[in-house]
Amino acid sequence: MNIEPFETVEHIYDTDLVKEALYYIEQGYYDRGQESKEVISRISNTASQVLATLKKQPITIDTEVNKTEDVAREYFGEDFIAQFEEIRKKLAEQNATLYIHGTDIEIANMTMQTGFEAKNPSITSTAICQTGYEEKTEYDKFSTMLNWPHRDYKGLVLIAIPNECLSVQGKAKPIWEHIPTTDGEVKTSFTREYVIKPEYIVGIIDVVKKQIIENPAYTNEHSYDGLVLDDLVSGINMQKETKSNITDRNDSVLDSNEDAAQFYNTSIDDSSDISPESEVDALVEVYNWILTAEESGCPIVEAKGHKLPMLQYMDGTQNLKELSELTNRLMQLVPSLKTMETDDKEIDDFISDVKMSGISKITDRIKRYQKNIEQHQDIDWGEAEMSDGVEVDDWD
Amino acid sequence: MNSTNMDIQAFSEVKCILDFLPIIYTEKLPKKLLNIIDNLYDEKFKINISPNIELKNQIFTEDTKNIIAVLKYNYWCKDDKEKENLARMFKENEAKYQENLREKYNPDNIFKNRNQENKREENIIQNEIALVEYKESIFKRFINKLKNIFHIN
Repeated sequence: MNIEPFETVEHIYDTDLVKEALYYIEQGYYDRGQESKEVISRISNTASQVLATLKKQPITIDTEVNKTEDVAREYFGEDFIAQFEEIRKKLAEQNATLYIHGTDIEIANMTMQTGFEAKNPSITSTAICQTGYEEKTEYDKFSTMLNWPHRDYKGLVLIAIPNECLSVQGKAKPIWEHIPTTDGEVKTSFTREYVIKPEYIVGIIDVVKKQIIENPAYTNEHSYDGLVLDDLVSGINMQKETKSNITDRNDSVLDSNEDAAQFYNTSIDDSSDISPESEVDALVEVYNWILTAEESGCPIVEAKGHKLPMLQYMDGTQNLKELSELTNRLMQLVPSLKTMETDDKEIDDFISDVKMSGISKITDRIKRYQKNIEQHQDIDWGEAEMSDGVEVDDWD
Repeated sequence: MNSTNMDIQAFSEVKCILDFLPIIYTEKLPKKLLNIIDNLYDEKFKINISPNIELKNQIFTEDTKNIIAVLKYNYWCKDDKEKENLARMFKENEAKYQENLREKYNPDNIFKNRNQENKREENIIQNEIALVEYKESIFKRFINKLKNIFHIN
C-alpha cells in the first residue's frame, strides 16, 4: 500500500479555555443545580468562545493512498458510479434514506431473498446512513465503500429505509419484523431476532466485481402491519435520541479514524425534546474529547475521508460539528429559561429588615478583619480591590 | 484581632449561602472579600438548613443577614437606582427601629404597653409562621438537583 502526503487542516483549540469551561460547568452547573438563563447563557457563550478561538492551520500527514476518493472512483468505474447515483436519486424521490451494511458477499446475496437480519431492531447500530441525493448530488464516499470500515467487507447491502420509519416527529412507522423462535432453539448473542423484509433491500454491491446487483423484490410500497419500531424511535429513547446518539452508534461501526462526520446523513430531526441537561452533558463529552487529544499528544485534524495513521492523529471533524451544533442549541434554549430573579428576590426578602446600624457594625468588622489578614498573612490579593466595596459613608 | 465565635458563625453561614447561590453571585465579589470569608468560616460549624424553606425564613444570625445586605448593596445591585432604594430601606428600617425603642423605653408607656406588646408579638410570630411558603428555595433546588443526579426519588 502506497503512502502519500495528505494536506489537511489541524484544529488547535485553546485548551485552557476548554478546561475553564469544564470547571465552570462543574462548579456553576452540576454542583449548584443551576439551569438558569444566566448560567446556561454563560456556558453557551464560553462554547462560542472555544469555537471563536479555534485555530485551523495547514498540516501534511502521511496517509494510505488507496483511501482517496479519486482512486476509489477510478476503481469502480463510470458505469458503476452512474448506476449508484441513479439509486440515490430514486430513493430521494421515494422519501427513503439509504443505509449500507457490510458483510460477506454470499450473505449479502442472501439478503435479497431472506431480508436483512439483526440481533436488535436498530438500523443505526449495524448499518451506516448515507448522504442523501437531495443534499449532495455527487456521492463522495466511494473510498469508504472500497475499504469498508468494518472488517473490510466486500459485500455491501443497500437498504432503503422510508423516512417515516425513523422520524422522531409525529408517529413513526415500524420497519422490523420479529423472528419467532422455534421450539428448542437456544438464544445466543448471535441469534438474529429481527428482520427487515427483502422489499426494503434495494440491492447489493459486490466490491470485488465492481457490480451493483439490484433486487427485483424491492418496492417503495409497504404494509407496516405486524412490524415493530426501530429502537431509534421506540419507547422513551425516541424522545431522547438525537443526531449525536446516532453518531455514537455509527462510530462503533466505523473505524475511529474514519471521516465519520461527512458520512452521516440522517432524516432524524434534531428538534426532539432538548433539555439543558442533555445538551450540557453532551458538551462535556465534546470538551473531554478535546482534552483527551491534548493529553495523548495526538493532533486533531480533518481526515476528509482518509485513513489517518492510528494513534497519531484524531479526526476532529465530528467533534467540531457537535460543538457548533450544541452551542447553537444552548443559545436557542436560553430565552426559554428562567432568570435568577427568583434568587434576587429571595435575597431581597432576606435582608428586608436590615438596619443601617447593622450595616455599619458589620462593615467595620469586615474592615478590621481585612487589615488583620493583610498585616499577618502573606496573601497575594491579586488585582481585585475593595475600593468599590464595603463603604457606608456615602449612604448618609 | 481574634475572630469571635459569633463572627465564625456569621461567616460560616454566609459561606453556606454563597455556596447555594449560583456561582455568578460569588464571581461578583472581590478576591479580598472572598479571602476574608474563607479565612473566617469554619466548615465544622454546624448550620441547619431546611430545604423547603425560603432564605428569609431560615434560622440565620443578624450578622449573617447584615453581611449579605452589604454584599447585595456593593456587588449585586443591578444599578444605582436599586442601590438608592436599598440604602433608603436600611435607613427607614433604622428609623422605625429607633422609634420603637423610644416608645418601648418611654417610662410612661412601659407599664401601659407591656400587656399589649406581648399580645402583638405573639400575633406577629403566628403570622410569620403562617407566611412560610413551601416553594422551591435555593436550598431545595440544589437538593433536587443532587437527587436527580443520583436518581433518588
